[in-house]
Amino acid sequence: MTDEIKLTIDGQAVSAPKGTMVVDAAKKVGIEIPVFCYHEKLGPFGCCRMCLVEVEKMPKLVTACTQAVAPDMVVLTQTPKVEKARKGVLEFTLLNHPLDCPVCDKGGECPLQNNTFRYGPGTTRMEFDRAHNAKATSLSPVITIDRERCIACQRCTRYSDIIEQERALVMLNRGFHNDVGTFDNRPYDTRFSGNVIDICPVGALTNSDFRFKARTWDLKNSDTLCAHCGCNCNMTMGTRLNKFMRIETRPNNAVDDGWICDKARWGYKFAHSETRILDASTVSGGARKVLPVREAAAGVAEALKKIADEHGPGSVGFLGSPYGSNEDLYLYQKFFRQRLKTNNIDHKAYPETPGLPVEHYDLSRLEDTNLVLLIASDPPEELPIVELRIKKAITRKRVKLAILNDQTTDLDRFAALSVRYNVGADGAALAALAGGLAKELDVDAGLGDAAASAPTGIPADKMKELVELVRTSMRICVVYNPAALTGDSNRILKRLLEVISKIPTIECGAIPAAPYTNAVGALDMGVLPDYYPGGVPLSEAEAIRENFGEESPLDPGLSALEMIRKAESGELKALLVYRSNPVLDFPGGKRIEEALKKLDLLVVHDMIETETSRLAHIVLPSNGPAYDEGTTTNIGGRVQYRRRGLTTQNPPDWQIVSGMCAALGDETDYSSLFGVTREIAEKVESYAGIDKASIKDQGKNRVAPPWNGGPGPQKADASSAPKNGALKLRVADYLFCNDKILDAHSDLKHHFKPSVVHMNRVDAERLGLHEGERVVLSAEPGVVTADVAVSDRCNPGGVIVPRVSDDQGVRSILQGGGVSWVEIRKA
Amino acid sequence: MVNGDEGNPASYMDRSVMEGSPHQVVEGLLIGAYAIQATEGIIYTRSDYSIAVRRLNKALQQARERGFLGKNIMGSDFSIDVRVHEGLESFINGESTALMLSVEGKRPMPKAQPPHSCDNGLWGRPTLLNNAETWATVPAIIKRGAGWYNSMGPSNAHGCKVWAISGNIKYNGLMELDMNTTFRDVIDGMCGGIAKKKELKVIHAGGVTGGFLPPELADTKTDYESLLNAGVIMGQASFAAYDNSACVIDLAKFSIGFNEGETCGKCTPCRIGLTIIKNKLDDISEGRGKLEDIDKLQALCEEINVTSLCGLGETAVHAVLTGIKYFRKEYERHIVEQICDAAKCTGLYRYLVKEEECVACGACIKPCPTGAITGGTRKEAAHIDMDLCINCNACYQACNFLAIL
Ligand code: SF4
Ligand code: SF4
Ligand code: FES
Repeated sequence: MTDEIKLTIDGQAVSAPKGTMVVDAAKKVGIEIPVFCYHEKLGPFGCCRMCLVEVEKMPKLVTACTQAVAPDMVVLTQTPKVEKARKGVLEFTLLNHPLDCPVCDKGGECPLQNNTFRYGPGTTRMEFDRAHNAKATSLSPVITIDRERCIACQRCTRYSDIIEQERALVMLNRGFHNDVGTFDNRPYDTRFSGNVIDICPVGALTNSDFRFKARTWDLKNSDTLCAHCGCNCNMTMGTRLNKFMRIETRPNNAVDDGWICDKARWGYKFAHSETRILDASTVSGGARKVLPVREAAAGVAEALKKIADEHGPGSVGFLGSPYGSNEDLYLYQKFFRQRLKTNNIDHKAYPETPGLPVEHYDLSRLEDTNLVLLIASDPPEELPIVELRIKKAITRKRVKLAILNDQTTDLDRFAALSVRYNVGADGAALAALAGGLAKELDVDAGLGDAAASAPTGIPADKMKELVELVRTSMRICVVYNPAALTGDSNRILKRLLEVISKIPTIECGAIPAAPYTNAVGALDMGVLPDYYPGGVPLSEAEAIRENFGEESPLDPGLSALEMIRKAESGELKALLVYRSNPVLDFPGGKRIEEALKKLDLLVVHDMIETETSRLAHIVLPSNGPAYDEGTTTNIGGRVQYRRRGLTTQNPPDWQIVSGMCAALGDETDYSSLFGVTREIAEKVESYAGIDKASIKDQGKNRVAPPWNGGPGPQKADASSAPKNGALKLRVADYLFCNDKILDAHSDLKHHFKPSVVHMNRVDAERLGLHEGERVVLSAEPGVVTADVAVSDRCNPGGVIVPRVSDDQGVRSILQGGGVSWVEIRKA
Repeated sequence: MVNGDEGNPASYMDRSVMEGSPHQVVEGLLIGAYAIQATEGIIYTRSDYSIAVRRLNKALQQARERGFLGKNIMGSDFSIDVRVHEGLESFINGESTALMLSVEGKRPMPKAQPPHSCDNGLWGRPTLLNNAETWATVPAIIKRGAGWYNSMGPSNAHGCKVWAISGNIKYNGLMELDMNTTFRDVIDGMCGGIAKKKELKVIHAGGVTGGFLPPELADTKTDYESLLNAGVIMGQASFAAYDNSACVIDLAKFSIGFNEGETCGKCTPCRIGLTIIKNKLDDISEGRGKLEDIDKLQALCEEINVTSLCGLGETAVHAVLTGIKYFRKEYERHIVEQICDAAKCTGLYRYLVKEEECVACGACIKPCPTGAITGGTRKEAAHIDMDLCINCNACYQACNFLAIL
């Protein structure tokens, strides 16, 4: 589709790729053709008739939004005939549209107002008793529909059909009585419903939360990023008088393709949450004392230093977060490495290392491939925009989807092949796939014993089919969720990628799709016990010393889980927890709490009060997204600038951390956030050239850190012997989890779900459990209650429990990074 | 694909051929399928054509039994199977792209072309679609040769066409006409002229999307071009010849009302414009019309004609456009003199008491729902207050002495 076609529009020569619609071609040379129903992402439809133009040699006026460019076409957009038609169409449209503009939320940014102003008739020729309909009614708990205002452009219904692939919102009735609605009047509450508000060209679909809060021209709009998941979708935050008002899409084809999910649109109430940490404070003898933030930060630095001096650098540790920005994380690792001389630095409870043996693809590559291979990843619940992009790839770009997972997901209905392994058998399944491919190719998969034939639960023919599908695809994009892989599977996965990269006919890339906002950035910034920023392993001592100073620590540090263990044994004395809540989110539950209580010093630097911050000796406030600016790197490796929308008195995190550095003698003066960014660009090769100017609007891809082989797979963990009658448990993600971010005040609470355990029919029968029955899942050291859902979501022998709320506390029954066993009994 | 969907109230040629000669349709389809090497055939029809559906299915079954359908037809490598798809009753389903959407289970709304169905039709595959009637002529053409078929009709429109003819004529029904035939030939010749010694007033050609022709144009030929030149279209190939008892505005109201109810509502002008026109015609027929309305109507109709996507919006306005073109006087008489000569527009009726006939019995007073009648008792003749009268006709029925008109 790259052939360029030359045509003339209003006397101007235009050239556009084949398949471009005349409206878009005209836009290229600054000629505006008014539209209502056309939307670039929805494709041609041609119902509003606003865009009629004259084309030479065509007898009738044609709609510029459905007419593709053709060689030597001569288009006229300003003839009297065209103007008359436009006026006519506008008159019809306005005659049936209530003129309640003064109280309409769309006022000021309404295509109907604007088109009428520019192209409409001054008066009308007739009276017309316009259609009457109930005014504001709710289409869902978050969307209000005013059917009188609807001009039946069908953008919203086509969106639901083409983009969401749900057909949830449809046109009801016929002709003059066309109404937008849903089957049986059910609420329209998909994961992406809010986008219809942005594309509705009138005020028919409005944001219930924003209704009547402000006039659009009074808003202060900041071009920022969503901070909920690893996609980092672009969005605009509207605020007024330092109060959050609304979120809208801000299209970026390299990231979000023009959409955001509902969690972005209605998930920012936390900016004004009552449980925000607003002060620095210390606790001594049960009494909390508020301190000035900078003073507290300097105090933290000195206290840590004291412990490190007393007990050695190995006695202090940093538990960061995949939610921090690159700058904050970079500074923190710098503080711990350079000032406290420790590598006890980590940000996660799952194993993942920087670097890929294949190219790091960005999100747009999902559409530009032949096969998307989803491994242990559930985009609908983890990375919503990836779901939309995959649906687009399949339905409009002829891409195939293969799924390898331990559960069925919402994307299964789009998959050419979906293969399900037993819960906890991800390593064996990946090894089988890598082994199968290697055998075909006659190479060594490099798996050693790891390829031992543990049962995967995958029928042999299915596995063969998958091997065949991968082998015969020319271009593959692998999407995997490192956080959902157990034990050693992450290393096996990288071997699999290596094997694929050895097949000469395949062009392969991968997206490490951990669901957390800056998971890739955290790896890149070296918030790891064994890698420096830029994916430099400790073994490259030379390079490290040269780049980060002679005294850079080179002994491997403790991982997050090891730090907790050492806290338990008393070897770790001090821990700084930054934007992380291990008590709730790490496997171990109560044990973690006990371990943290043994610390001499626990500092928590966070945005919202958590189970962990309540244990802290010192608490520092983090302003977090909406207040703090920073850059983040999405799962596609794109570095983007997250601007602030609201302001606060408290210093931003980077200033707090650089204050800590300064307290221990670091003299670097960053002067602004981008001072830190500049240092990153200098020190981290893959971030060279990333600065404010280059990422300002649409971001820029960083260069992937080099692949240095990574650690090889270890021998399978022998500890996983099944206990009597126990089942293997995996905790899955659920997008609208009732947690600190979307709390009970959230607009999205209608999405909250009760605690449910999904189990296979076979197991349910064996245990005598029925659908809906309340059960207790128990495992050292905790218990969790849930309702039974008998489904075929996973294979026999395993259970899947989606994490639906903080109160559910499901991670407390996990027993570490490997497989967890649970016993289930009736409550 | 066979388009066997008919929505026009006066057309039934597809139905007749599907009911009367289903094998002919199937045979035509098979020939077409063979020509393009199609692998799947669909006969689309309305579910309320139950006889057609039953007979088509039977014909298909018989064809399968004889090996004319299915795998390796008559020993060749050509294989195809055909099924009947029953759509719901909707006028727009007859439009080719809407019809295909309907088969796909989507909302039938016409799509802009290109891409044409022959490149990108049903399920995104190239699709060949013709009316049942068209397919039914194929076997005959193959058998007798193109020369035979071309010998009929004028040079720009070969062959013949089945018309559905109705109205105030002696004989009506389906007639297959050589396109050289004129309306007068049909009305006076085959149909035995206007019934009951009345006179031809208007020819309504082309069904609900067609228009009106005055008697002076009765010599128009029934081929596409001549019809277009006269401002009407072949449309659903039906025409009705009416005598003086027909009112052009009333007929237009029917056509517009039908289209307004059947438009899919996709295009703004068609969705809103037709309702506006319907309201305007109602105004005229109920005595609220203004003279400038005629020009406005004409302008509106022209706009809808040029701005709509599919044939429905484009042609729906013919009824008004040709009405104004040929029968402007009648519109003016409705507006200015408030008289409908054909007495069709009930809204223009005036109820008057013939004082000399009234016996003041009071029988008309009670039935009047609005209390418009005063007097009528004690020897005083009744009087109807026209401001209150709603033309319900109750008093007329109540009067035993024919004193009310
Ligand atoms: S609700 Fe808005 S987007 Fe949907 S059809 Fe109506 S005007 Fe268009
Ligand atoms: S997909 Fe992720 S980044 Fe994008 S809007 Fe949703 S939560 Fe935010
Ligand atoms: S924008 Fe072209 S018809 Fe609506």
